[in-house]
Amino acid sequence: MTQEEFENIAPSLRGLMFSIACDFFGNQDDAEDVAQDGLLELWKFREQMDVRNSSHRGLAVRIAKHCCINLVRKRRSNMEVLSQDYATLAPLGTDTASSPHEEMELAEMKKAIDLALLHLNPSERRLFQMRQIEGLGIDEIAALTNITPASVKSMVSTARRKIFEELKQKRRL
Amino acid sequence: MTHQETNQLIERYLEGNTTPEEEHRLALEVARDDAPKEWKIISAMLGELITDEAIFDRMMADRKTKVTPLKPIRRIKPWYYIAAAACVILALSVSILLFTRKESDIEPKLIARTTTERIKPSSSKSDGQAHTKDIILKEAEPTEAAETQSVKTDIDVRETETEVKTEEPAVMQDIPQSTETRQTEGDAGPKFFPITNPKRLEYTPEEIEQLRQRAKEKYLEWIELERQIIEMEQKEMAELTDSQDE
Repeated sequence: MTQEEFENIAPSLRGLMFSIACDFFGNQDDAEDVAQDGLLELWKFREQMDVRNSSHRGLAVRIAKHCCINLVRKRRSNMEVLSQDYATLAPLGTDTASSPHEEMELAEMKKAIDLALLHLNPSERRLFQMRQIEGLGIDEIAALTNITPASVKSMVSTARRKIFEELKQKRRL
Repeated sequence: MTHQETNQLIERYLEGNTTPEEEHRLALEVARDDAPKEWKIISAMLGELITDEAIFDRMMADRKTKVTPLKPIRRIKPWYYIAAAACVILALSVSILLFTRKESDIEPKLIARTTTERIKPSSSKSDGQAHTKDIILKEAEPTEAAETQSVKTDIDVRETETEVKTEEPAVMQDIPQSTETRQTEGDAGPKFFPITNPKRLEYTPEEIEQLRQRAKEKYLEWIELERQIIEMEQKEMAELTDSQDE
């Protein structure tokens, strides 16, 4: 997706993310923050987005939800708001708050996953990202890539196992 | 979700057989603080987007299903209303009753009191002894009526009798009955019947005549005293004018 194409669809995606955040937080200020952060996140996925299909809307929804939870995490860690306001937001047992150690571990894990993705062949990587990041189903991926669903499932499985094994090995080391 | 179920789900995920909903459930499970290390890898593989989307969806679902604890609506039972109405009616009726009784107290009453004046005994006494009774008829003041011997017109005379007895026992017990009527009302000994209600005054014609005579005498005495006072005043005035002339 080119920059011009992204700028064309950006207002509608921004409005979509704003409405999701508004439902979640119940106020326009936080929704504005989420919409802004969401657009920046979407910009990172610009190259993977395709104007011809509407998968970018699904991706925008997921990014908006991620930004909402991320904002809760930030506020919790910064203690900007009373904990009781946001303590009830996340379900019990869900790790919305993270310690610096956990954040560092997560960052390392992300790097490891990015590295493992580079070790995949391009088709596997593409299918993995379509399934993982864009949230597309097997049938949708099959329709978009003109590959049979069974093959898509097989390739996705292979990619996942490869990444999992590589990460397990790194952890052992 | 049990540990085994989560492991099964992880296996299905690695095989590519999980649906987006199952992946959301798995993301929530492996994102737990107490998750094993292998699960953390799966969590990282699923990525923040899936995990956060799962958290977001679950939170929104919880909010929808969760009933916000509002202040309980106070529903007053019907019998509370009935009890309250009954209390109000009772209070009103009591206050009205007291008010009307107070008003009746304000009305002038006749009170019997002992005085130094004496009335000649009645000739109809059975024992023939000379009974005397000191009687004064006067209007009761409203404030005094409630405190002293004043008796409400609608109360039985007997009640008043006991009140008066307790207040002035020494005097009252010494006073014998003076009429036949009083003798017939009580045979248990000497009693004092204060004159409270004109309807209950049942003096004999002789006693009434004596009372009239006594009143006439007193009236004449009062006239005489008034005449003397006027004469003295005239004398004083005359002396005063003489002294001024001199």
